[in-house]
Amino acid sequence: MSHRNKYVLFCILVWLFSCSQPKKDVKDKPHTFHIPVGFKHPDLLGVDSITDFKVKIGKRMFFDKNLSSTKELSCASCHIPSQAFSDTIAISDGVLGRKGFRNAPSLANVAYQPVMFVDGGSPTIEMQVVAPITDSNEMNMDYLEAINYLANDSIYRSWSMVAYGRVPDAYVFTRSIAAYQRTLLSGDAKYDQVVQGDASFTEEEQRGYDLFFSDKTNCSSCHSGNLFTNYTYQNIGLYTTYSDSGRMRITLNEEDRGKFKVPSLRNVALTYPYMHDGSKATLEEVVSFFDRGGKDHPNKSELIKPLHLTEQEQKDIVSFLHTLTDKKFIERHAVNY
Amino acid sequence: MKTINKFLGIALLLSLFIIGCKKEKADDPKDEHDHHHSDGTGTVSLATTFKVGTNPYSTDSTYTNGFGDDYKFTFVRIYLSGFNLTDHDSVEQALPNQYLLVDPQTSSYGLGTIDAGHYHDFNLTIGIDSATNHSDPNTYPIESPLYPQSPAMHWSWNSGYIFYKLEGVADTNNDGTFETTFSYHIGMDALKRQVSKTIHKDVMKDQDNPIQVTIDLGKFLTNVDFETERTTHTMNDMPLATKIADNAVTAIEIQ
Repeated sequence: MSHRNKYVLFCILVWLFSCSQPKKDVKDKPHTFHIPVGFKHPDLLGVDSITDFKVKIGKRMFFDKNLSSTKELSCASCHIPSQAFSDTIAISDGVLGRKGFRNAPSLANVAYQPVMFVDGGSPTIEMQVVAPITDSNEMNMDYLEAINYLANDSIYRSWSMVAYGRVPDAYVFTRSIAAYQRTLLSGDAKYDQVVQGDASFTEEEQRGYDLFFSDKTNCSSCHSGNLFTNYTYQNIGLYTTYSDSGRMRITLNEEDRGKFKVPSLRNVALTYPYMHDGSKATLEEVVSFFDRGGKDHPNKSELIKPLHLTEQEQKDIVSFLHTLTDKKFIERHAVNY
Repeated sequence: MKTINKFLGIALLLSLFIIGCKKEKADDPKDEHDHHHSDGTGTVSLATTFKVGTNPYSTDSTYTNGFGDDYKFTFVRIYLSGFNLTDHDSVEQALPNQYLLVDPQTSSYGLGTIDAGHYHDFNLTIGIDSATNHSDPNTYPIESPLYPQSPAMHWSWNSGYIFYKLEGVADTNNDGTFETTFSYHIGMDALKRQVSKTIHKDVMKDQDNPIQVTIDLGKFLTNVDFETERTTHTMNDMPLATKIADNAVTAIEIQ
Protein backbone atom coordinates (compact mmCIF):
# COMPACT_ATOMS: atom_id res chain seq x y z
CA MET A 1 0.00 0.00 0.00
CA SER A 2 1.38 3.47 -0.85
CA HIS A 3 2.03 6.04 1.87
CA ARG A 4 -0.88 8.13 0.63
CA ASN A 5 -3.30 5.22 0.80
CA LYS A 6 -2.08 4.30 4.26
CA TYR A 7 -2.70 7.86 5.38
CA VAL A 8 -6.21 7.84 3.93
CA LEU A 9 -6.95 4.51 5.59
CA PHE A 10 -5.67 5.85 8.89
CA CYS A 11 -7.94 8.90 8.65
CA ILE A 12 -10.94 6.72 7.87
CA LEU A 13 -10.23 4.48 10.86
CA VAL A 14 -9.87 7.50 13.16
CA TRP A 15 -13.15 8.88 11.91
CA LEU A 16 -14.96 5.57 12.37
CA PHE A 17 -13.53 5.15 15.87
CA SER A 18 -14.47 8.66 16.90
CA CYS A 19 -18.04 8.15 15.75
CA SER A 20 -18.50 5.05 17.92
CA GLN A 21 -17.34 6.71 21.10
CA PRO A 22 -19.04 9.50 23.00
CA LYS A 23 -17.41 12.80 22.40
CA LYS A 24 -14.94 13.54 25.13
CA ASP A 25 -16.84 16.65 26.01
CA VAL A 26 -20.24 14.86 26.38
CA LYS A 27 -21.52 15.68 29.80
CA ASP A 28 -24.60 14.59 31.59
CA LYS A 29 -26.99 17.02 33.21
CA PRO A 30 -29.95 16.85 35.58
CA HIS A 31 -33.10 15.82 33.78
CA THR A 32 -35.77 18.44 33.29
CA PHE A 33 -39.02 16.88 34.46
CA HIS A 34 -42.40 17.79 33.09
CA ILE A 35 -44.03 18.10 36.51
CA PRO A 36 -47.80 18.50 36.57
CA VAL A 37 -49.27 21.38 38.56
CA GLY A 38 -49.55 20.41 42.19
CA PHE A 39 -47.22 17.40 41.90
CA LYS A 40 -43.95 17.06 43.80
CA HIS A 41 -40.62 16.81 42.00
CA PRO A 42 -39.91 13.07 41.75
CA ASP A 43 -36.19 13.60 42.31
CA LEU A 44 -36.87 14.74 45.83
CA LEU A 45 -38.16 11.32 46.83
CA GLY A 46 -34.88 10.08 48.23
CA VAL A 47 -33.26 8.80 45.07
CA ASP A 48 -30.00 9.66 43.35
CA SER A 49 -29.97 12.58 41.02
CA ILE A 50 -31.76 11.71 37.80
CA THR A 51 -29.95 12.83 34.69
CA ASP A 52 -30.64 12.89 30.98
CA PHE A 53 -28.33 9.98 30.26
CA LYS A 54 -29.77 7.87 33.07
CA VAL A 55 -33.23 8.40 31.60
CA LYS A 56 -31.91 7.70 28.10
CA ILE A 57 -30.33 4.41 29.18
CA GLY A 58 -33.42 3.43 31.13
CA LYS A 59 -35.71 4.13 28.21
CA ARG A 60 -33.57 2.04 25.89
CA MET A 61 -33.64 -0.81 28.44
CA PHE A 62 -37.41 -0.45 28.90
CA PHE A 63 -37.98 -1.17 25.21
CA ASP A 64 -35.18 -3.72 24.82
CA LYS A 65 -36.46 -7.19 23.99
CA ASN A 66 -33.02 -8.68 24.58
CA LEU A 67 -33.83 -8.48 28.27
CA SER A 68 -36.11 -11.50 27.96
CA SER A 69 -34.93 -15.08 27.52
CA THR A 70 -36.66 -15.42 24.13
CA LYS A 71 -35.76 -11.86 23.03
CA GLU A 72 -39.46 -11.36 22.35
CA LEU A 73 -40.53 -9.32 25.34
CA SER A 74 -39.50 -6.06 26.86
CA CYS A 75 -40.95 -4.13 29.78
CA ALA A 76 -43.02 -2.23 27.23
CA SER A 77 -44.71 -5.44 26.10
CA CYS A 78 -46.88 -5.33 29.21
CA HIS A 79 -46.50 -1.61 29.97
CA ILE A 80 -47.62 -0.11 26.68
CA PRO A 81 -47.21 3.67 26.41
CA SER A 82 -50.53 4.22 24.64
CA GLN A 83 -52.30 2.39 27.47
CA ALA A 84 -50.74 4.64 30.11
CA PHE A 85 -48.07 1.97 30.48
CA SER A 86 -50.43 -0.85 31.33
CA ASP A 87 -51.81 -3.36 28.83
CA THR A 88 -55.22 -4.55 27.70
CA ILE A 89 -55.50 -8.12 28.94
CA ALA A 90 -56.28 -9.58 32.33
CA ILE A 91 -53.00 -11.45 32.86
CA SER A 92 -50.16 -10.60 30.52
CA ASP A 93 -48.37 -13.20 28.44
CA GLY A 94 -44.86 -13.94 29.55
CA VAL A 95 -42.28 -15.80 27.50
CA LEU A 96 -43.41 -19.00 25.82
CA GLY A 97 -47.04 -18.18 26.56
CA ARG A 98 -46.54 -18.44 30.30
CA LYS A 99 -48.85 -16.53 32.58
CA GLY A 100 -48.31 -14.80 35.90
CA PHE A 101 -51.25 -14.24 38.19
CA ARG A 102 -51.84 -10.50 38.37
CA ASN A 103 -52.88 -7.71 36.04
CA ALA A 104 -50.09 -5.41 34.80
CA PRO A 105 -50.55 -2.04 36.54
CA SER A 106 -50.11 1.35 34.91
CA LEU A 107 -46.68 2.90 35.45
CA ALA A 108 -47.99 6.45 35.19
CA ASN A 109 -46.87 8.30 38.31
CA VAL A 110 -45.09 5.24 39.67
CA ALA A 111 -42.53 7.73 41.01
CA TYR A 112 -44.97 8.59 43.77
CA GLN A 113 -45.75 5.04 44.86
CA PRO A 114 -44.46 4.42 48.41
CA VAL A 115 -44.05 0.70 47.68
CA MET A 116 -44.24 -1.50 44.60
CA PHE A 117 -46.61 -4.35 43.66
CA VAL A 118 -50.24 -4.53 44.70
CA ASP A 119 -49.15 -6.36 47.82
CA GLY A 120 -46.35 -3.94 48.67
CA GLY A 121 -43.68 -6.60 48.30
CA SER A 122 -40.94 -4.31 47.02
CA PRO A 123 -39.91 -1.06 48.69
CA THR A 124 -38.57 0.86 45.68
CA ILE A 125 -38.79 1.00 41.90
CA GLU A 126 -35.08 0.22 41.77
CA MET A 127 -35.58 -3.05 43.61
CA GLN A 128 -38.83 -3.93 41.87
CA VAL A 129 -37.48 -3.84 38.29
CA VAL A 130 -35.53 -7.04 38.88
CA ALA A 131 -38.70 -9.06 39.51
CA PRO A 132 -40.36 -9.07 36.06
CA ILE A 133 -36.99 -9.45 34.33
CA THR A 134 -36.21 -12.63 36.27
CA ASP A 135 -39.67 -14.10 36.86
CA SER A 136 -39.90 -17.37 34.94
CA ASN A 137 -43.48 -16.56 33.94
CA GLU A 138 -42.60 -13.09 32.66
CA MET A 139 -39.27 -12.25 31.02
CA ASN A 140 -37.49 -15.31 32.42
CA MET A 141 -34.03 -13.82 32.29
CA ASP A 142 -31.02 -14.80 34.34
CA TYR A 143 -30.18 -11.54 36.05
CA LEU A 144 -26.42 -11.72 35.65
CA GLU A 145 -26.85 -12.74 32.03
CA ALA A 146 -28.99 -9.65 31.49
CA ILE A 147 -26.34 -7.44 33.05
CA ASN A 148 -23.66 -9.15 31.00
CA TYR A 149 -25.61 -8.34 27.84
CA LEU A 150 -25.81 -4.66 28.85
CA ALA A 151 -22.12 -4.57 29.78
CA ASN A 152 -21.13 -5.92 26.38
CA ASP A 153 -23.34 -3.62 24.32
CA SER A 154 -21.35 -0.68 22.99
CA ILE A 155 -24.17 1.84 23.32
CA TYR A 156 -25.09 0.88 26.87
CA ARG A 157 -21.41 0.90 27.78
CA SER A 158 -20.70 4.33 26.38
CA TRP A 159 -23.86 5.89 27.81
CA SER A 160 -23.20 4.25 31.17
CA MET A 161 -19.72 5.76 31.26
CA VAL A 162 -21.24 9.19 30.74
CA ALA A 163 -24.04 8.73 33.28
CA TYR A 164 -22.29 6.69 35.96
CA GLY A 165 -18.58 6.62 35.13
CA ARG A 166 -18.72 2.83 35.04
CA VAL A 167 -19.75 0.00 32.75
CA PRO A 168 -23.25 -1.40 33.23
CA ASP A 169 -23.76 -3.48 36.34
CA ALA A 170 -26.71 -4.17 38.63
CA TYR A 171 -26.65 -0.64 39.98
CA VAL A 172 -26.63 0.94 36.51
CA PHE A 173 -29.40 -1.37 35.36
CA THR A 174 -31.77 -0.71 38.23
CA ARG A 175 -31.12 3.02 38.53
CA SER A 176 -31.55 3.57 34.81
CA ILE A 177 -34.86 1.80 34.35
CA ALA A 178 -36.12 3.47 37.51
CA ALA A 179 -34.92 6.86 36.26
CA TYR A 180 -36.93 6.46 33.07
CA GLN A 181 -40.01 5.33 34.97
CA ARG A 182 -39.76 8.33 37.26
CA THR A 183 -40.26 10.58 34.24
CA LEU A 184 -43.69 9.06 33.59
CA LEU A 185 -45.66 11.83 35.26
CA SER A 186 -49.32 12.28 34.41
CA GLY A 187 -51.39 15.12 35.80
CA ASP A 188 -52.72 17.19 32.93
CA ALA A 189 -56.05 15.54 32.21
CA LYS A 190 -59.33 17.33 31.61
CA TYR A 191 -60.00 16.97 35.36
CA ASP A 192 -56.84 18.96 36.11
CA GLN A 193 -57.76 21.64 33.58
CA VAL A 194 -61.17 21.99 35.25
CA VAL A 195 -59.58 22.21 38.71
CA GLN A 196 -57.23 24.89 37.41
CA GLY A 197 -60.13 26.80 35.85
CA ASP A 198 -59.09 26.23 32.25
CA ALA A 199 -61.95 23.94 31.22
CA SER A 200 -65.45 22.88 32.26
CA PHE A 201 -67.03 19.52 32.83
CA THR A 202 -70.02 18.45 30.83
CA GLU A 203 -73.17 18.09 32.92
CA GLU A 204 -72.69 14.32 33.06
CA GLU A 205 -69.05 14.66 34.11
CA GLN A 206 -69.96 17.21 36.78
CA ARG A 207 -72.62 14.93 38.24
CA GLY A 208 -70.09 12.12 38.21
CA TYR A 209 -67.51 14.32 39.96
CA ASP A 210 -70.04 15.25 42.64
CA LEU A 211 -70.98 11.61 43.22
CA PHE A 212 -67.33 10.51 43.29
CA PHE A 213 -66.51 12.95 46.07
CA SER A 214 -69.76 12.44 47.98
CA ASP A 215 -70.53 10.60 51.18
CA LYS A 216 -73.04 8.60 49.19
CA THR A 217 -70.29 6.69 47.34
CA ASN A 218 -67.14 7.35 49.42
CA CYS A 219 -65.06 6.67 46.30
CA SER A 220 -62.70 9.45 47.26
CA SER A 221 -62.10 7.99 50.71
CA CYS A 222 -59.63 5.57 49.16
CA HIS A 223 -59.18 7.14 45.73
CA SER A 224 -58.03 10.42 47.20
CA GLY A 225 -55.55 13.17 46.53
CA ASN A 226 -53.78 14.17 43.37
CA LEU A 227 -53.10 10.59 42.42
CA PHE A 228 -56.58 9.33 43.32
CA THR A 229 -55.22 6.78 45.76
CA ASN A 230 -54.31 6.77 49.43
CA TYR A 231 -52.01 3.78 48.83
CA THR A 232 -53.64 1.74 51.59
CA TYR A 233 -54.40 -1.96 51.30
CA GLN A 234 -58.09 -2.70 51.06
CA ASN A 235 -60.30 -5.73 50.69
CA ILE A 236 -63.28 -4.71 48.55
CA GLY A 237 -65.13 -8.01 48.72
CA LEU A 238 -64.19 -8.95 45.18
CA TYR A 239 -64.42 -12.60 46.21
CA THR A 240 -65.61 -14.60 49.19
CA THR A 241 -62.59 -16.83 48.70
CA TYR A 242 -59.42 -15.32 47.27
CA SER A 243 -57.00 -17.47 45.30
CA ASP A 244 -54.55 -14.59 45.54
CA SER A 245 -54.09 -13.67 49.18
CA GLY A 246 -52.82 -10.19 48.32
CA ARG A 247 -51.09 -8.32 51.12
CA MET A 248 -51.18 -11.45 53.26
CA ARG A 249 -48.66 -12.95 50.86
CA ILE A 250 -46.16 -10.51 52.34
CA THR A 251 -47.25 -10.09 55.94
CA LEU A 252 -48.59 -13.62 56.54
CA ASN A 253 -51.34 -11.96 58.62
CA GLU A 254 -54.82 -13.41 58.14
CA GLU A 255 -56.32 -9.93 58.52
CA ASP A 256 -54.51 -8.95 55.31
CA ARG A 257 -56.06 -11.69 53.20
CA GLY A 258 -57.62 -10.30 50.05
CA LYS A 259 -56.25 -6.80 50.59
CA PHE A 260 -54.60 -5.07 47.65
CA LYS A 261 -53.08 -1.62 47.29
CA VAL A 262 -55.60 0.97 46.15
CA PRO A 263 -54.67 1.82 42.54
CA SER A 264 -54.45 5.32 41.17
CA LEU A 265 -57.41 6.16 38.94
CA ARG A 266 -55.44 8.50 36.68
CA ASN A 267 -55.86 7.33 33.08
CA VAL A 268 -58.18 4.60 34.36
CA ALA A 269 -60.14 4.63 31.08
CA LEU A 270 -56.99 3.34 29.38
CA THR A 271 -55.91 0.75 31.92
CA TYR A 272 -58.64 -1.87 31.43
CA PRO A 273 -59.25 -4.57 32.43
CA TYR A 274 -59.53 -3.84 36.12
CA MET A 275 -58.84 -5.32 39.56
CA HIS A 276 -55.70 -7.13 40.70
CA ASP A 277 -56.54 -10.02 38.40
CA GLY A 278 -58.04 -8.06 35.52
CA SER A 279 -61.40 -9.71 36.14
CA LYS A 280 -63.52 -6.65 35.35
CA ALA A 281 -63.39 -5.72 31.68
CA THR A 282 -64.97 -2.26 31.73
CA LEU A 283 -65.44 0.73 33.97
CA GLU A 284 -69.18 0.11 33.82
CA GLU A 285 -68.65 -3.33 35.36
CA VAL A 286 -66.46 -1.85 38.06
CA VAL A 287 -68.94 0.86 39.03
CA SER A 288 -71.74 -1.70 39.00
CA PHE A 289 -69.69 -3.96 41.27
CA PHE A 290 -69.17 -1.18 43.82
CA ASP A 291 -72.84 -0.24 43.57
CA ARG A 292 -73.80 -3.77 44.58
CA GLY A 293 -71.47 -3.58 47.60
CA GLY A 294 -69.14 -6.48 46.85
CA LYS A 295 -69.28 -9.97 48.32
CA ASP A 296 -69.00 -10.96 51.93
CA HIS A 297 -65.51 -11.33 53.35
CA PRO A 298 -64.33 -10.89 56.95
CA ASN A 299 -61.66 -8.41 55.83
CA LYS A 300 -63.91 -6.34 53.59
CA SER A 301 -63.70 -2.58 54.11
CA GLU A 302 -66.66 -1.01 55.89
CA LEU A 303 -66.81 1.55 53.10
CA ILE A 304 -67.85 -1.13 50.62
CA LYS A 305 -71.61 -1.47 50.78
CA PRO A 306 -74.57 -1.17 48.40
CA LEU A 307 -74.73 2.40 47.06
CA HIS A 308 -78.20 2.27 45.44
CA LEU A 309 -77.05 4.29 42.43
CA THR A 310 -79.37 4.76 39.48
CA GLU A 311 -78.28 3.68 36.04
CA GLN A 312 -77.71 7.33 35.10
CA GLU A 313 -75.63 7.93 38.23
CA GLN A 314 -73.42 5.00 37.34
CA LYS A 315 -72.98 6.44 33.83
CA ASP A 316 -72.15 9.81 35.33
CA ILE A 317 -69.38 8.33 37.46
CA VAL A 318 -67.93 6.57 34.42
CA SER A 319 -68.05 9.86 32.49
CA PHE A 320 -66.16 11.57 35.28
CA LEU A 321 -63.53 8.81 35.34
CA HIS A 322 -62.90 9.43 31.65
CA THR A 323 -61.86 12.99 32.52
CA LEU A 324 -58.80 11.50 34.27
CA THR A 325 -57.28 10.52 30.92
CA ASP A 326 -54.19 12.62 30.24
CA LYS A 327 -53.84 12.68 26.46
CA LYS A 328 -50.81 14.94 26.63
CA PHE A 329 -49.04 12.33 28.75
CA ILE A 330 -49.81 9.65 26.19
CA GLU A 331 -48.60 11.83 23.32
CA ARG A 332 -45.47 12.89 25.18
CA HIS A 333 -44.40 9.31 25.83
CA ALA A 334 -45.63 7.76 22.59
CA VAL A 335 -42.97 5.50 21.13
CA ASN A 336 -43.09 3.58 17.89
CA TYR A 337 -42.85 0.12 19.32
CA MET B 1 35.99 5.00 49.60
CA LYS B 2 37.76 4.86 52.95
CA THR B 3 35.79 7.91 54.09
CA ILE B 4 32.52 6.29 53.02
CA ASN B 5 33.38 3.07 54.79
CA LYS B 6 34.13 5.01 57.96
CA PHE B 7 30.83 6.80 57.65
CA LEU B 8 28.89 3.58 57.13
CA GLY B 9 30.66 1.96 60.01
CA ILE B 10 29.78 4.79 62.36
CA ALA B 11 26.19 4.74 61.14
CA LEU B 12 25.96 1.00 61.78
CA LEU B 13 27.39 1.36 65.26
CA LEU B 14 25.01 4.16 66.08
CA SER B 15 22.04 2.07 64.86
CA LEU B 16 23.05 -0.87 66.98
CA PHE B 17 23.48 1.46 69.94
CA ILE B 18 20.00 2.93 69.52
CA ILE B 19 18.33 -0.42 69.05
CA GLY B 20 20.25 -1.98 71.91
CA CYS B 21 19.35 0.80 74.28
CA LYS B 22 15.64 0.69 73.53
CA LYS B 23 14.13 -0.21 76.82
CA GLU B 24 11.38 -2.70 77.12
CA LYS B 25 8.18 -0.86 77.78
CA ALA B 26 7.33 -1.28 81.43
CA ASP B 27 4.29 -3.39 81.89
CA ASP B 28 1.21 -1.29 82.44
CA PRO B 29 -0.43 -2.65 85.60
CA LYS B 30 -3.64 -3.02 83.53
CA ASP B 31 -1.91 -5.40 81.11
CA GLU B 32 -1.51 -8.03 83.80
CA HIS B 33 -5.26 -8.65 83.64
CA ASP B 34 -5.75 -7.65 79.99
CA HIS B 35 -4.34 -10.92 78.76
CA HIS B 36 -6.37 -11.02 75.56
CA HIS B 37 -4.55 -8.05 74.03
CA SER B 38 -1.21 -8.41 72.46
CA ASP B 39 0.97 -6.50 70.08
CA GLY B 40 0.11 -6.92 66.48
CA THR B 41 -2.72 -8.32 64.47
CA GLY B 42 -3.57 -11.55 62.74
CA THR B 43 -6.07 -12.62 60.13
CA VAL B 44 -8.97 -14.91 60.83
CA SER B 45 -10.55 -17.23 58.33
CA LEU B 46 -13.51 -19.59 58.30
CA ALA B 47 -12.52 -23.11 57.33
CA THR B 48 -15.63 -25.04 56.30
CA THR B 49 -16.14 -28.75 55.97
CA PHE B 50 -19.35 -30.00 54.43
CA LYS B 51 -20.66 -33.42 55.31
CA VAL B 52 -23.86 -35.41 55.53
CA GLY B 53 -23.88 -37.36 58.74
CA THR B 54 -20.57 -39.16 58.92
CA ASN B 55 -20.09 -38.99 55.16
CA PRO B 56 -18.15 -36.37 53.25
CA TYR B 57 -20.24 -34.19 50.95
CA SER B 58 -20.29 -34.33 47.18
CA THR B 59 -22.96 -33.78 44.54
CA ASP B 60 -22.29 -37.29 43.23
CA SER B 61 -22.98 -38.96 46.54
CA THR B 62 -26.24 -40.54 47.55
CA TYR B 63 -27.38 -40.20 51.14
CA THR B 64 -30.26 -41.70 53.10
CA ASN B 65 -32.53 -39.66 55.34
CA GLY B 66 -34.31 -40.63 58.51
CA PHE B 67 -37.29 -41.89 56.52
CA GLY B 68 -35.17 -44.31 54.55
CA ASP B 69 -35.27 -42.29 51.34
CA ASP B 70 -32.15 -41.95 49.23
CA TYR B 71 -31.33 -38.45 48.05
CA LYS B 72 -28.67 -36.24 46.53
CA PHE B 73 -28.00 -32.53 46.72
CA THR B 74 -27.84 -30.54 43.50
CA PHE B 75 -27.46 -26.98 44.81
CA VAL B 76 -26.37 -25.62 48.18
CA ARG B 77 -25.69 -22.01 49.16
CA ILE B 78 -25.75 -20.58 52.67
CA TYR B 79 -25.41 -17.00 53.90
CA LEU B 80 -23.43 -16.80 57.15
CA SER B 81 -22.85 -13.45 58.79
CA GLY B 82 -22.36 -11.50 61.98
CA PHE B 83 -18.97 -13.04 62.78
CA ASN B 84 -17.43 -11.93 66.05
CA LEU B 85 -15.05 -13.09 68.70
CA THR B 86 -15.58 -12.22 72.33
CA ASP B 87 -13.03 -11.63 75.03
CA HIS B 88 -13.23 -12.72 78.66
CA ASP B 89 -15.34 -9.63 79.44
CA SER B 90 -17.78 -10.79 76.75
CA VAL B 91 -16.95 -7.75 74.64
CA GLU B 92 -17.61 -8.63 71.03
CA GLN B 93 -15.06 -7.80 68.42
CA ALA B 94 -16.67 -7.92 65.02
CA LEU B 95 -14.57 -9.40 62.27
CA PRO B 96 -14.16 -7.07 59.31
CA ASN B 97 -15.76 -9.38 56.77
CA GLN B 98 -19.29 -9.73 58.04
CA TYR B 99 -21.03 -11.58 55.21
CA LEU B 100 -20.18 -14.81 53.45
CA LEU B 101 -22.05 -16.84 50.86
CA VAL B 102 -20.80 -20.32 51.58
CA ASP B 103 -20.81 -23.17 49.09
CA PRO B 104 -19.54 -26.75 49.34
CA GLN B 105 -16.86 -26.20 46.70
CA THR B 106 -15.00 -23.61 48.76
CA SER B 107 -13.34 -24.47 52.04
CA SER B 108 -11.78 -21.23 53.26
CA TYR B 109 -13.12 -17.70 53.59
CA GLY B 110 -11.21 -14.70 54.87
CA LEU B 111 -12.85 -12.86 57.74
CA GLY B 112 -10.28 -10.09 57.98
CA THR B 113 -7.69 -8.78 60.40
CA ILE B 114 -8.15 -8.56 64.15
CA ASP B 115 -6.01 -7.78 67.17
CA ALA B 116 -3.88 -10.73 68.12
CA GLY B 117 -4.70 -12.28 71.48
CA HIS B 118 -6.90 -14.73 73.29
CA TYR B 119 -10.61 -14.87 72.57
CA HIS B 120 -13.26 -16.96 74.24
CA ASP B 121 -16.34 -17.27 72.09
CA PHE B 122 -16.99 -17.29 68.37
CA ASN B 123 -20.46 -16.23 67.21
CA LEU B 124 -22.12 -16.29 63.82
CA THR B 125 -25.55 -15.86 62.28
CA ILE B 126 -27.15 -18.32 59.89
CA GLY B 127 -28.78 -15.80 57.60
CA ILE B 128 -28.55 -12.03 57.44
CA ASP B 129 -29.36 -9.27 59.92
CA SER B 130 -32.60 -7.44 59.38
CA ALA B 131 -31.20 -4.12 58.17
CA THR B 132 -29.04 -5.74 55.52
CA ASN B 133 -31.75 -8.25 54.70
CA HIS B 134 -33.96 -5.38 53.51
CA SER B 135 -31.23 -3.47 51.73
CA ASP B 136 -30.90 -3.24 47.95
CA PRO B 137 -28.60 -5.94 46.53
CA ASN B 138 -27.98 -3.75 43.50
CA THR B 139 -26.01 -1.26 45.58
CA TYR B 140 -23.24 -3.64 46.60
CA PRO B 141 -19.96 -4.02 44.69
CA ILE B 142 -19.84 -6.91 42.29
CA GLU B 143 -17.39 -8.85 44.45
CA SER B 144 -19.64 -8.68 47.51
CA PRO B 145 -21.61 -11.81 48.42
CA LEU B 146 -24.59 -9.46 48.82
CA TYR B 147 -24.48 -8.46 45.13
CA PRO B 148 -27.08 -10.24 42.96
CA GLN B 149 -26.20 -13.88 42.46
CA SER B 150 -27.00 -16.48 39.86
CA PRO B 151 -28.89 -18.60 40.78
CA ALA B 152 -30.62 -15.83 42.68
CA MET B 153 -30.22 -15.55 46.45
CA HIS B 154 -32.72 -12.71 46.85
CA TRP B 155 -36.50 -12.53 46.54
CA SER B 156 -37.39 -9.52 44.41
CA TRP B 157 -41.15 -9.96 44.85
CA ASN B 158 -40.99 -9.93 48.64
CA SER B 159 -37.81 -8.05 49.16
CA GLY B 160 -35.27 -9.97 51.18
CA TYR B 161 -32.36 -12.35 50.89
CA ILE B 162 -32.73 -16.10 50.69
CA PHE B 163 -30.64 -17.16 53.67
CA TYR B 164 -29.95 -20.57 52.23
CA LYS B 165 -31.02 -22.79 49.39
CA LEU B 166 -30.93 -26.55 49.69
CA GLU B 167 -32.00 -28.32 46.52
CA GLY B 168 -31.75 -31.87 45.33
CA VAL B 169 -33.50 -35.03 44.22
CA ALA B 170 -34.88 -37.95 46.20
CA ASP B 171 -36.13 -41.46 45.66
CA THR B 172 -39.29 -41.49 47.75
CA ASN B 173 -40.79 -44.67 46.32
CA ASN B 174 -37.58 -46.71 46.61
CA ASP B 175 -37.54 -47.73 42.97
CA GLY B 176 -33.98 -46.63 42.40
CA THR B 177 -34.84 -43.44 40.49
CA PHE B 178 -34.70 -39.95 41.93
CA GLU B 179 -38.14 -38.84 40.82
CA THR B 180 -38.81 -36.29 43.56
CA THR B 181 -37.29 -32.83 43.44
CA PHE B 182 -36.85 -31.10 46.78
CA SER B 183 -36.29 -27.38 47.14
CA TYR B 184 -35.94 -25.48 50.40
CA HIS B 185 -35.40 -21.73 50.23
CA ILE B 186 -35.29 -20.27 53.70
CA GLY B 187 -35.38 -16.57 54.48
CA MET B 188 -37.23 -13.79 56.31
CA ASP B 189 -36.01 -12.04 59.44
CA ALA B 190 -37.78 -14.42 61.82
CA LEU B 191 -35.85 -17.40 60.50
CA LYS B 192 -32.30 -16.24 61.03
CA ARG B 193 -30.56 -18.19 63.74
CA GLN B 194 -27.49 -17.71 65.93
CA VAL B 195 -24.70 -20.17 66.61
CA SER B 196 -22.12 -19.63 69.34
CA LYS B 197 -19.35 -21.65 70.89
CA THR B 198 -16.65 -21.11 73.46
CA ILE B 199 -13.52 -21.99 71.53
CA HIS B 200 -10.71 -20.28 73.44
CA LYS B 201 -9.06 -19.07 70.30
CA ASP B 202 -5.59 -17.62 70.29
CA VAL B 203 -5.28 -15.28 67.35
CA MET B 204 -1.57 -15.27 66.54
CA LYS B 205 -0.12 -12.18 65.00
CA ASP B 206 1.14 -12.00 61.45
CA GLN B 207 -0.51 -15.24 60.43
CA ASP B 208 -3.88 -16.62 59.46
CA ASN B 209 -5.95 -18.16 62.21
CA PRO B 210 -8.61 -20.47 60.82
CA ILE B 211 -11.78 -21.25 62.75
CA GLN B 212 -13.20 -24.63 61.80
CA VAL B 213 -16.89 -24.94 61.06
CA THR B 214 -18.56 -28.17 60.05
CA ILE B 215 -21.79 -28.00 58.07
CA ASP B 216 -23.84 -31.21 58.21
CA LEU B 217 -26.39 -30.77 55.44
CA GLY B 218 -28.27 -33.83 56.57
CA LYS B 219 -29.10 -32.15 59.86
CA PHE B 220 -30.90 -29.31 58.06
CA LEU B 221 -33.35 -31.98 56.95
CA THR B 222 -33.93 -33.73 60.27
CA ASN B 223 -37.57 -34.91 60.36
CA VAL B 224 -38.19 -33.52 56.88
CA ASP B 225 -40.06 -36.06 54.78
CA PHE B 226 -39.36 -35.57 51.06
CA GLU B 227 -42.63 -37.29 50.22
CA THR B 228 -44.90 -34.80 51.96
CA GLU B 229 -42.54 -31.90 52.58
CA ARG B 230 -40.55 -31.65 49.40
CA THR B 231 -40.57 -27.85 49.11
CA THR B 232 -40.89 -24.61 50.97
CA HIS B 233 -39.90 -21.16 49.81
CA THR B 234 -40.70 -19.88 53.28
CA MET B 235 -43.76 -17.69 52.67
CA ASN B 236 -45.71 -20.52 51.08
CA ASP B 237 -45.03 -22.97 53.93
CA MET B 238 -43.83 -21.20 57.02
CA PRO B 239 -44.11 -24.18 59.41
CA LEU B 240 -41.82 -26.32 57.26
CA ALA B 241 -39.41 -23.40 56.77
CA THR B 242 -39.36 -22.86 60.53
CA LYS B 243 -38.60 -26.53 61.13
CA ILE B 244 -35.63 -26.35 58.78
CA ALA B 245 -34.44 -23.08 60.33
CA ASP B 246 -34.57 -24.64 63.79
CA ASN B 247 -32.61 -27.61 62.44
CA ALA B 248 -29.97 -25.23 61.08
CA VAL B 249 -28.48 -24.50 64.49
CA THR B 250 -27.69 -28.21 64.86
CA ALA B 251 -26.32 -28.42 61.34
CA ILE B 252 -23.67 -25.75 61.66
CA GLU B 253 -21.14 -26.68 64.28
CA ILE B 254 -18.21 -24.53 65.32
CA GLN B 255 -15.29 -26.76 66.18
